[in-house]
Amino acid sequence: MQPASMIECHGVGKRYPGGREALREVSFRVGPGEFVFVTGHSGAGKSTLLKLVALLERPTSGRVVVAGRSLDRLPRREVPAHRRAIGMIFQEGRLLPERTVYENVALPLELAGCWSAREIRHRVRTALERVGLAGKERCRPVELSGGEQQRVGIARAVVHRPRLLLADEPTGNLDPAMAWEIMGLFLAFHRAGVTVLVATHDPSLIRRLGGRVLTLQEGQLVDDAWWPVVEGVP
Amino acid sequence: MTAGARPRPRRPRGRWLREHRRACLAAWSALAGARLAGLMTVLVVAVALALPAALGVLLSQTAGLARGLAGELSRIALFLEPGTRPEAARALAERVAAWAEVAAVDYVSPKQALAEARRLAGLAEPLRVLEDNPFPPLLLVSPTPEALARGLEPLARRLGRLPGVEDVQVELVWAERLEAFLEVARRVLLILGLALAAAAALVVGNTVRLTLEGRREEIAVMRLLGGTEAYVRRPYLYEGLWLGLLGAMVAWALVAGAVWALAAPVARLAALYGGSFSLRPPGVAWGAALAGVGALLGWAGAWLAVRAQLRRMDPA
Repeated sequence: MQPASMIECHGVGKRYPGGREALREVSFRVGPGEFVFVTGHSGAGKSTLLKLVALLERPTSGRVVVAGRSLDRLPRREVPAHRRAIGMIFQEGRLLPERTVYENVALPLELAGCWSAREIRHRVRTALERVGLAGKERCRPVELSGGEQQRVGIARAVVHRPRLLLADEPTGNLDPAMAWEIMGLFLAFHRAGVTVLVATHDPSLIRRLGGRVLTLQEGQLVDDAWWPVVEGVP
Repeated sequence: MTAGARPRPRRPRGRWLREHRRACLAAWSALAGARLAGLMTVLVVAVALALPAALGVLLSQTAGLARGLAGELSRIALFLEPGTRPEAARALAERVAAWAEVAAVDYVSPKQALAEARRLAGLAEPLRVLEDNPFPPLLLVSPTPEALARGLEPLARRLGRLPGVEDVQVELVWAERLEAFLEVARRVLLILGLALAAAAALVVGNTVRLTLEGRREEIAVMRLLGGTEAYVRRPYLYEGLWLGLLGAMVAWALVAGAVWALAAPVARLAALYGGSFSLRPPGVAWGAALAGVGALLGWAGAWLAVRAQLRRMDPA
């Protein structure tokens, strides 16, 4: 059954040890199947927000609800299952360099431990085909370009077919053409019904695509608006 | 399950065993890859285990021998009534010597006792001033090893009921001294063993912690992707187990080598004292027990290190 909201934040705050306040009283709701950008300058709290949703961090105040389940009461032993149910993409890719592309993409399935070797093979190949990397299974990440590495990261994030995809500056290290290509992949997953939350500090990327945008400034949500598509943005 | 994820298929059968096998082999490969660091740890563990193990072997083998020796020195002194004639004393000695619990009986006449006492320093002069011989006739009863093992009290009571017996004294000094010495040795071994076992576990834990530091990013990625603590720590626990097991095997070899090197000189020494004692190399069961202890210590050391490190890496 589809939950009424995929993500809900109620007065969420996060203060790191040392006193730095990354988020203050942030509240919003993201429905199932939505595509939402989170934007703001560096240090505005975008990454922290995504970390709270993925439960890589816990908020110091407020409540985060994902797929109808409040994360503040989630015991430590259930955290891995929550993370496995989400697809996560990072700016720096975070691929394991000594493993092949195939092994990197298969990792979430191995961690879940629910699939046979045959199923894993099938899912990994399908995911790599979707990101245009069929035939690169045996390559090591170091043998790939930045864009290809990012696509491996995306394949790894979607191989277990999550309903929520979180991307933290996924195009930060890429040239505009490659960034556009990667965004195209996100849009394809969004069209397939996946809820997508993309954190980016690149306004041109948002203007080119348009859509709902959450703007953070010094840890506060200062705007939640629909940005129109602007033609001719490079 | 959160994030509205699709229902998951059930775990394939035998997955748990396969994961353990894979973690076990991965740990072995990692250890083989880091030869020098692994070897150093194995040697430190081996030395830490070899010392108490060697003492244990020595203690277990010499305790039996020493107890036998103590048995020979444990006697019951039977003081007969003054004035008992030598013939009557000898007859009583023969009667007692026939008992099943008795190995031998020696008769010590008052005259012999006086002569013996005069030989002792400081007693000659006081004894000279006495007009009469103060020593009663004496029977020294040596019990059989079986009687000694059962305890000398029943035999002493039975001897005390014999006619003409005035007093009975059980000479257990040697046995008590030896038992006390063995108890001290056992305690020392226990303390030393515990301290060195803790040291071995800590050494393994430290090695595993360093390995863990080197694979920090890999662990972080696994945790980000939803790897459970059990999944992440499993290869490191096996690494600890391998280190402990290999250390124990080397310790066994060291102890066996030491026993082999000492066996001939010890046998020669025993022969010079009229004995036939020889050190035996530790057996297979003993080696298996040591291997089990080593593996357990390695596992425990790794578990402590991994648990603390993982909590630091992923506080959520």
